[in-house]
Amino acid sequence: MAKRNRVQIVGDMLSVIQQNGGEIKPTHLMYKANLSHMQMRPLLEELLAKELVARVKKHQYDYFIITEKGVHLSQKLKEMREFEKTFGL
Amino acid sequence: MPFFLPPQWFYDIDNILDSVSVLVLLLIAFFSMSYYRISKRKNYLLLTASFSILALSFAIKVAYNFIIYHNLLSPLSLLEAHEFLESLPTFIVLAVFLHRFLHLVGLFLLYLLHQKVPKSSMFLLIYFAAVLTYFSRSAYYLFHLTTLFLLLFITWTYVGQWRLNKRSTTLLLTIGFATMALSQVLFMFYQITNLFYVAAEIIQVVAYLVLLITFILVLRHGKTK
Repeated sequence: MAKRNRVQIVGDMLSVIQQNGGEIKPTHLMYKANLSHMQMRPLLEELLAKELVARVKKHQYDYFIITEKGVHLSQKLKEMREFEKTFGL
Repeated sequence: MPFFLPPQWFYDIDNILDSVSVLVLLLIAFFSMSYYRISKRKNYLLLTASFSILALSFAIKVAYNFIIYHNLLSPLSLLEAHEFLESLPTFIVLAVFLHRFLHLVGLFLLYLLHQKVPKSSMFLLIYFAAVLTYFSRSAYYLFHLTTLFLLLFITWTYVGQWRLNKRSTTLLLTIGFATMALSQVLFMFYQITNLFYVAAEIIQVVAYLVLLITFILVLRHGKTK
């Protein structure tokens, strides 16, 4: 399997949150998006800073929820991946 | 420079068909640019440039055809029209050259997108496009022949791509470019009868519509995933 680039990883992270009903625990996100803790942390901080995901507390646990902006970007990245594969970019 | 007119009933219909091609090319270029803004990958930029240049090339063709049909030919008799075509105004000749040059450059860029050649060779290809455009002044089919070869190379690249990914959208894209290549074969013969021009224009717009359908399917597949 080819190495994922940064944009693909972000796309996978957002997609995983969406598939999980829009919210996820950080550890679950790490496993489901095939990331190490070192990889995930800076990306997650970036997603938070760009308001693509938000942090919420639920039953004393940290959860990450996908924002509307995040849903929009996730959609755009899926289209982009499809475009890339079709045009062989 | 020899200039051939389509049948009179086809005046403006060709402009409408070429305008459809412009819209399809601009639409794909616009989306490709938006993807470039997200990913910063140069391939998206090259695709945007290629499709935008092709769109500009078609737009120039639409503009000079419109001027010829409505401003230059309409007040002339048939004999005068014939004489007019023998000695076209300089700005029309330049517009035809620019259309051909941009068309070749657009296709060269699209071809380069899939080749492992240094991007600096782009300048060499632009030089060849300029030379070919110049020689197409006396032999118009040279332009269509070169376009045909470029389209065949691009089609072949997409055949290879389709063999690898087996995607229906890549197959459609391949069919689209193959249809464009077919239209260039017909364009080469429009000196024999201008009905070849009519057929070529129709086939060309079909090719661009196939490209549009491909693009719509790409967006739809992206949404369903």
